[in-house]
Amino acid sequence: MVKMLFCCCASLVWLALYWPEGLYAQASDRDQGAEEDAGVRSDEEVEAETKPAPNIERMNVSGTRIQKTDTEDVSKIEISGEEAALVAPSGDVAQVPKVFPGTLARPQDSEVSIRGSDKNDALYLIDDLQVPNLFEPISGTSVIPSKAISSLSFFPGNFDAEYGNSTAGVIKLVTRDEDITQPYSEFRFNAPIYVSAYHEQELSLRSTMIASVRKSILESFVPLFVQEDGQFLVPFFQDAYLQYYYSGDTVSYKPRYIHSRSGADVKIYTDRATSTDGTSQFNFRNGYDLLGVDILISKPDLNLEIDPYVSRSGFEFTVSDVFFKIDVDTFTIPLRTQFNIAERVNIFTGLQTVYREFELNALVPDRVGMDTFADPENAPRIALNVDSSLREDAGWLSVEFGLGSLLVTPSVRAFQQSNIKSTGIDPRLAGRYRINGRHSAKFGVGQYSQSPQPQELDPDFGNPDLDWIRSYHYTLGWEAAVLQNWTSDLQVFYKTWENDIFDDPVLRFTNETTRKARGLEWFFRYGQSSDLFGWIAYTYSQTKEIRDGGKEVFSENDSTHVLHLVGNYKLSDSWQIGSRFKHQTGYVYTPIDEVWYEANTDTYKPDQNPDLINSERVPDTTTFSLFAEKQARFNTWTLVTRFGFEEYQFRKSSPNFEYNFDYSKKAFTTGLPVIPFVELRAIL
Amino acid sequence: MMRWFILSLVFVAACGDMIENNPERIEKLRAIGVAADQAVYTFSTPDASVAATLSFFVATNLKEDIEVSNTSLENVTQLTLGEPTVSFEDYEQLRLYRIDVSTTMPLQEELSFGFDGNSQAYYALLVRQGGEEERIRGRLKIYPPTVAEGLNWTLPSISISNPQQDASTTAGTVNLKAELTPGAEENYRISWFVAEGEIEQNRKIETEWQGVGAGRKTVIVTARGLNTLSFAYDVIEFDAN
Repeated sequence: MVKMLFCCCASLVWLALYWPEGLYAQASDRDQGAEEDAGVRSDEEVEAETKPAPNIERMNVSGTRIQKTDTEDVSKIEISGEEAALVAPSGDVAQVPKVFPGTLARPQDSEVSIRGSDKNDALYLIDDLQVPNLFEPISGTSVIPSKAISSLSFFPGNFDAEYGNSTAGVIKLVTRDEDITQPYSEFRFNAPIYVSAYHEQELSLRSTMIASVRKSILESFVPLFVQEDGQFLVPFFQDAYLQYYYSGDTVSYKPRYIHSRSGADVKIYTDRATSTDGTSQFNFRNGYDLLGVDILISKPDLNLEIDPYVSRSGFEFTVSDVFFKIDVDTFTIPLRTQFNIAERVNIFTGLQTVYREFELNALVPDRVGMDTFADPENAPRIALNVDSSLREDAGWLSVEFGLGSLLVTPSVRAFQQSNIKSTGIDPRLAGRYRINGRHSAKFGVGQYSQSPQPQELDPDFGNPDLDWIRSYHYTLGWEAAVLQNWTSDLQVFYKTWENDIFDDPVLRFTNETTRKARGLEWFFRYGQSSDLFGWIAYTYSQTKEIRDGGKEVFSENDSTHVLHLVGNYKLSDSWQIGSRFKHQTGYVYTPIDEVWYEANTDTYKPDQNPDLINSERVPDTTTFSLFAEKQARFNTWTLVTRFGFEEYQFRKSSPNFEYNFDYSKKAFTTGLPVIPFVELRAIL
Repeated sequence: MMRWFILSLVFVAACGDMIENNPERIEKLRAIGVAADQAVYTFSTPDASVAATLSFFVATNLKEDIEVSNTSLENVTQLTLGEPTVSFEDYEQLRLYRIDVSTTMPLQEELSFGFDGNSQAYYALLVRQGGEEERIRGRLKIYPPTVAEGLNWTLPSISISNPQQDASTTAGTVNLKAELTPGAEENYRISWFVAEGEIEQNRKIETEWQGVGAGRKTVIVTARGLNTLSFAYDVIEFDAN
């Protein structure tokens, strides 16, 4: 499997490096010959050929992606990669959902919690690829360069049956391809985190390519600050992205390769010292290689898309006597089609098969009895040696039809997974009613299922009798173009979960958690694709859950009010300035009740009182980010300097607070210092 | 900004102006460890029960009486503790209580054995002094006799080598050093306890005690085996001038 993967990678590299010339030569030869017959084809002609047949209503083929009409967009927010890169946290397009309505993200997280869901429940896609980890774990930024992203689509709920195994939402990064017309090279120095190089260019009238590499420089700086008495802290990461795109008359394809590696070697003084020198050592490694190709066949009244990809991912860590090492090989074949069967009637269908092979070796804390001895260090160990495979199959069908001003999409998704005994069927319905040229009403209702995590289903470590986690989404919305350059999107939602996972002290995991979330979201947006753009994103929500039949408590991801103000202004050809403001109700937390002295570890550990779970909140957070970008043009290159500070906290911050050693004292973080950043980009 | 920086800055901010956190300083009733009288335990049989004595060590800066009582834990196999025997030693700055309790190991059928052949039995005790309460809990590993025979474990010991008992040193900063005699090949966690000042790294076997005033001083060091769950301690007094 590994050999096959790397052979494929090598082939892709060869393809990207050498085939374009051949293609270009072929195209040139053909063009020379063709000029005598039909003359040189213009860009417009080529573009016209790549567009869908005109009788498919509003269908738009962008790259290799089949896009439906906006009935699926009950909750969708779309932003161009260029705009997102200007205002997103860390300038990372994939993180822009953090400042959209309906989301929450703790300071250390790149992923977002969507409408009360856990952050790990969201589905992150690069085009149609689901990468093992979109966000590189050391820097928290995505493995795909922002420049390679054409647009980001965010579906916080009521997404189409095409997307499955998620109860939260979908975040989709659409990569650039045919819009690449000029060679562009960029060298980036992000002090003191990483350096990167990016290149894109048109290879012929029909083909383009993107190549990018990034390497951390943290490992050179961080050890300077931790060098006392044999301590060390060496984090590192590297990633690469390689993409080729070819668009033929009826077939287009986009092969690509994604590489990611990260890790850290840490030995520091800690209260959990495992050595008589007072230190504890921790190591982790994480990485994957993914190779895939998107193939789109476009014919009148029919589109067919196949996106097979293989990935090999690995993760391992060691701390004290605990270790965990897992390697996963994944082979995925998604297939989707679109038929136009009558005027304003489209049928979308798809099949997806995922096959995974696991190899797991671990010595980890056993969860049985963890309710009493919740400290992993003090828990008994369980050894796991598992060679296993897993297969997931799904099929889906959406029928979209228009009736006057109403556009409706009923859909259904059927699925099964080899380690879950029951199969599932999720019915969904979405619709949009165009009131007039400026106003639309929309609605969505549907069932969404998600499998428990593999470790939760493991016969040794988890509970193999777990069932699908189910969620029901209900959304009502109203979209309006209210003023010049202003659009408003108001939505109310109600969402419930059944069979969510409960950490059971005896059975390890059960399906005994139910949850519900309700809320209102308002997205008021100004000036898309103009010099001045920005938005107000406000979310009111409440998320509560019942664990194992107990009393109803607030969920970890409950935050009543979240307000984002985001803006960017292009002052001149060389200057831009932008900022973000956030105010958020504090997260809930469980106050300390009983504290035990753990004799085996010489530490103190609080017990959770079921009556106090999530019964208090940390103070509200108000943060402000300010950044500017300056372009200095020279004869042969341009220097872009981006600088500013991110997430300055005006007052006490959530969710950070600290206890002393025996939990007798507690204090909230009183506000972080300004964290400046400077990023230099040389563009050729 | 990048998560590593945020986390480290949160850590710096949290430590910088917030909580005074001195686990080494005994300013109230504090447990410092629990010792068992054997390095390895086996389960009882219907014909022969296996007895054990657990010694709970509790330090306090108040030379007042304590109360001891049993308490129960949920979802685990818990050892039944006998009537406690309480004794103490008074030092210049601290009183060190020793609470001995006897117990009997469970029968084999009361235990479930894990991958490495051992099972767990838990203990818990409440100690009160005035308004202070210390809840102490821990576990013992129990092995089948056939496995226990192959474990050449002994009880560890630790002794403070600097300063020495009754030595005279200069007040201010005092170098602390202990010598550990392990009872098995395993990782050990050290902990120093004093009544004043600060210890630079209280988990380090050789460290500094800062802010030592003049007078007779008390120092306790403990060590616990992180696999065998064994415990050892030493206490000395010296004069700082």
